[in-house]
Amino acid sequence: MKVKATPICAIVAASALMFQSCAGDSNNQNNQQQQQQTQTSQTNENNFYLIPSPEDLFAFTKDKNLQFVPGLVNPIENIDKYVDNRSKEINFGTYSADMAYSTAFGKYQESLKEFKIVRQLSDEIGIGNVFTQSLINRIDNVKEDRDSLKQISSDIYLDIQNFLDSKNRAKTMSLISTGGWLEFLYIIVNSVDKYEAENPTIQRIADQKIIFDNLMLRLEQQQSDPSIKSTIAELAPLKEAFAQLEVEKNNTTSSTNNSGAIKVGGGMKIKMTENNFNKIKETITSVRNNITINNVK
Amino acid sequence: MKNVIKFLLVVLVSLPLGLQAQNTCADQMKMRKPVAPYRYNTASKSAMCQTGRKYEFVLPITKGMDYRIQFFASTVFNNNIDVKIIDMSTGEVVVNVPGKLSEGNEPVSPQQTALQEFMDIKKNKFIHPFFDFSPVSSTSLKIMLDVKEVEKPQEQVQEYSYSDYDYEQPRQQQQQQPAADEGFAVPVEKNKGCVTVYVIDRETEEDTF
Repeated sequence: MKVKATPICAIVAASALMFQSCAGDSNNQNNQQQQQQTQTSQTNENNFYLIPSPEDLFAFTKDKNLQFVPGLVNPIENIDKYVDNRSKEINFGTYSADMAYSTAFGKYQESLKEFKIVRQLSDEIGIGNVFTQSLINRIDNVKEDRDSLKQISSDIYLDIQNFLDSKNRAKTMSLISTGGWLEFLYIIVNSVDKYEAENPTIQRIADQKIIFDNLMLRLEQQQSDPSIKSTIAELAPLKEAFAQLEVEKNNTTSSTNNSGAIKVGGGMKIKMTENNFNKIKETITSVRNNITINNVK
Repeated sequence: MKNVIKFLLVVLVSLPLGLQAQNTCADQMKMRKPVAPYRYNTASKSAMCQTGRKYEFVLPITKGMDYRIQFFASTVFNNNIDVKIIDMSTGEVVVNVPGKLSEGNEPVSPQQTALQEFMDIKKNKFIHPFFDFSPVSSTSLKIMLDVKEVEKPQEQVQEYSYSDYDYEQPRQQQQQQPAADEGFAVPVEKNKGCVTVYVIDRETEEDTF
């Protein structure tokens, strides 16, 4: 009987570790404190700050007046500078964003080059399994049109997201998202020659404050990790620059349009002055360049 | 000593198996294919949730795109998940629906519940609930899920599948926890399963307002 009971106990113990929520059987103070800590941690873990992929971020470029500027992407030669895991993961994000940028503008040759770099880095950060033979065949046979490239680029991102989720590698996903978003912002800000208040791209840049806030909240959830902590520190100047944007509040309530969609977002508008724009441009350029040349202080 | 070794061996074997079972939510997203003009939004998320807990998802949405949000949940939850969506620009609750209506009631529109399907008699088919959003300015939506306790104890681990989605869902997971009051040691069933916040989008149709 003892022999049978032991594996059962072991399974129970494993389950307890797995679910991380088994209550103890004593009511002492320590236990209560522990429960409170667990609850706080659970509350934190139960919040999900969602970040769009570079494909989604670049989605609006199609019909606007933005021009493709090849010199804005992270030079391929920089890959040799990424020797530590953090820089590899974060710059996996920057190259993914570069690939999405090239793809959004239908630049087939450029996106293939970036794809090769992304694939190389994927092996180095342990997500090479995502690039299956069938995916590689799809890329080899892709038609030179924007939609096919976009579909593949989007599928790769989804596969990576799923793979990292399944391996409990939330930290890696956060670093990739950070790199991707920084590169997106760097490219878009530097694609605008001069500030014009009515330019819709200027408003897009101002609206990035919302995504940046989400990104910071996600990183702060994981700040016990040293590489996340140093990333938060690196983003501090950008946080300061976005904090200077004025948020105009409106007394608008939601309504529903003819097709039944709920109109939202009427309660505030983020405004960006020329000074704000220049400050963000200067800051994102400095932060992004530090990351891509791996010049971490 | 033998027992200790056996104990450790079983822990080592059981733990990765358990963790693997926990992580099947990641696969849920790939099963869904948006119908044009909608396209998949990569901010979609499928997470392992547990009965009796609350979850929040903060979704940034951008002016110029229209969004459709749908919820899918493992059958272990029996559609018993309340959903609130808050427009963060105003703090206003713009959606506040139960996962399902009380026994015997059928939804009269796909926006009346978060999970229980609406029978469209004209089209003679079930429509999964959906919520459409059209941002007039970029904002965030805070999606709050209240995963209710199950009404009655369920069978231990069972296979299940959605009626209208032809794929297998991950196994449900159950655990027993002692009741908060030690004096009444009534076991409370804790069920785990996947909840998916599925987001699709399309370019805004300017003339809809």
